[in-house]
Amino acid sequence: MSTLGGAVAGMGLLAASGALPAWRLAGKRPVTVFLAPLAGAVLAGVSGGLTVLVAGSILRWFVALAVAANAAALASLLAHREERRSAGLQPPAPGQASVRGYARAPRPSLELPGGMGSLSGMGGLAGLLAVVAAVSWGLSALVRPRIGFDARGIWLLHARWMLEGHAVARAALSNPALPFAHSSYPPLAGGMVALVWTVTSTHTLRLGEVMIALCSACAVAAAGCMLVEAGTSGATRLRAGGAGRLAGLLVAAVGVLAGGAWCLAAYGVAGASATNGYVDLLWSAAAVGAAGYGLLLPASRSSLYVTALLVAVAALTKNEGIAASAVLVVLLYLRYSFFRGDGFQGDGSPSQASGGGQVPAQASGGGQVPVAEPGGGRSPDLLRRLVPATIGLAGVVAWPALMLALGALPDPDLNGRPHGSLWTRMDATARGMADHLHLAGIALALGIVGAALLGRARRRMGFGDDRLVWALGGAEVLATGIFYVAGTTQIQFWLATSVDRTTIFANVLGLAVVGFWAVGAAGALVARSDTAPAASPPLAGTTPGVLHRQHE
Amino acid sequence: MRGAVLRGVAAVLLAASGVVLVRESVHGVHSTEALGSGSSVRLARLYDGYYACLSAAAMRLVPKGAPVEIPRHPPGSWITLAKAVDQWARLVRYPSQARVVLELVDRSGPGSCLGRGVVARPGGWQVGAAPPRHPVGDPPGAPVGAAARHRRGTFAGTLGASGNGA
Repeated sequence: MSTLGGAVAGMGLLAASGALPAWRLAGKRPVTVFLAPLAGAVLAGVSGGLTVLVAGSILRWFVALAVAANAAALASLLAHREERRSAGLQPPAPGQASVRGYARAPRPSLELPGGMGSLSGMGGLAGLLAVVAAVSWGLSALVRPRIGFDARGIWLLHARWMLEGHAVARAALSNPALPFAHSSYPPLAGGMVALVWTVTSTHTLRLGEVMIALCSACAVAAAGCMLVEAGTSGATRLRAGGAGRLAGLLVAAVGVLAGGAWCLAAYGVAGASATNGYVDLLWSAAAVGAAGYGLLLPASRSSLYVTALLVAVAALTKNEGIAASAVLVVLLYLRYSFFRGDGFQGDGSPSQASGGGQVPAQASGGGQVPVAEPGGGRSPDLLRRLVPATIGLAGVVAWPALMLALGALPDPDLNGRPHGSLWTRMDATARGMADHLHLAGIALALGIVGAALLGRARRRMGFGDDRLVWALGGAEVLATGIFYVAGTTQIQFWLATSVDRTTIFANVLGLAVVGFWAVGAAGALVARSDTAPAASPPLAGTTPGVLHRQHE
Repeated sequence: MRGAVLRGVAAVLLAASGVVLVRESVHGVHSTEALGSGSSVRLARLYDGYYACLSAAAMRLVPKGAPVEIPRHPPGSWITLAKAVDQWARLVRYPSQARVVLELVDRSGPGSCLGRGVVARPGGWQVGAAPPRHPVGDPPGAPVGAAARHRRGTFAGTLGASGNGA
């Protein structure tokens, strides 16, 4: 099979296996299109991990996991439909939001002038086209058949191990002849490529390179959709607050443009490593998307599910992704416990800005449903939220813990006698990383100015607090810096060959923050001065304290 | 008055954010354009062809399924050759565990790969002896690629295909 045919078949397999679970988790919104193959890649990665850890072949594991995931998603959908039927509710009509177990609430009118359709629907479609166009351009670099150095020696080698089955993969973990292979790295890329090689019988490095680039593109597009949804949900809130249609259209358009621009910019930041079989853009974009859906977009259950899926992608892809995902899980817990999308609510009391804990409808991709914070207006149930947070954290760190237990080779960059003194390494690391963090610096400056002057206006649009995102970016930069300083590889050589990739995450995260501020500033620009969510129409029939579920 | 000031601030912030995003997206467009340029594609083919050439040269020197060791000095030669053969060779850590020791050397003329070539010498492990083991008693070096399958032709075009943009 040709590389093109193999790539089409591979993406088709990933998308088909992940479509139903992704749809169940995210609902009908633009990002679901890109989450489907990513969900399939997560299944392939877990299959690869089980091949290494337990026994068997990757194809058998994948079939079993895909069947289980799709059966669970289908059962959940059927149960949900039955629940609706027993509650006497019909599927929501266009323009209506649904609320579990309670009367449906009419949405604020989102119709565009001249019968152009709903703002959220059209905005979502335009955003989808914008991010597809942007990532397609980024993928055009695939005409260059360059298998990167680490792609050859790490990711595609892991794929070969998993293709060979448990015995080979397990032995390779501790083979001292292969220190450069980072055998303990997470299994998503290797598992995904091994699966596609198996199914297509096309065992070429080129196909592996293309598949990793396509998955990276899906992660980039998912993160771009996050900015598109920022625009559509912000526009909907403004409309609910009495802003004009054109005002809403402008804010939605800014979100669409920001989403497309962010995708193009991400390819500029990643450079050659976006399409040469490296996975740095894959985990970075997935983590940025997770940060956006989990920490910045208005809080909702489906956004939390999108976040969880993207966290899984990042954590199963590379060690830096594990670090970022672990911090993200902690920050998600903090956000959902203390920081609401509509402001700082440390004590769980009703927010003045939000009008008694109710958050107006958000529209994103036509399927988004209004959000009421769990336990809105009551003290947050910290312990209850601690359970999923702990499970999530355990899942994120499971792979490195298992590798340690199985005696996988230690990271070669942390092994042996360090080159240079601690001070030399610190100095070189600080200089080397600072040279590559200018975008994050610009974003931080814009964020500080924005938060000081327009923070309230942005909170009215339901966006989360920037400080959580900065904590994530800062923690990742700090962890990377500590790794360089504590490592043993000659530091100048190490930095020269890697720092442009280890700073991708901080830079694209900074650019995403800039995108959010663009949407927030557009909202502040067009909002009526007396606009506040408290003045927005209350959601008829909703009950404070009910956790509204999406896509009823 | 305050509303007008805030609108002014919002306009400035929107413009600044827009400038940053547009500037970086233009950079992304140019970066992708450069990667897809003819010279970049030719260089990529040369790079992958180099690895394919080394892999093919090494393949001719290694009996089917034989454990292979590559000396770690000089490090550049070790890592280059290891990455050229790691998809099919059964790599081990020490010469005593290997049937064949491969080295990267300077070579010109026919059979050279951009001025480099692969030579082989016998390792310490002989056919019929017990399988090589790691000093600490670990399992034998992982056969990180099925030489047997390779011999049957399944991998025959692997590296070449990657270099040809198949």
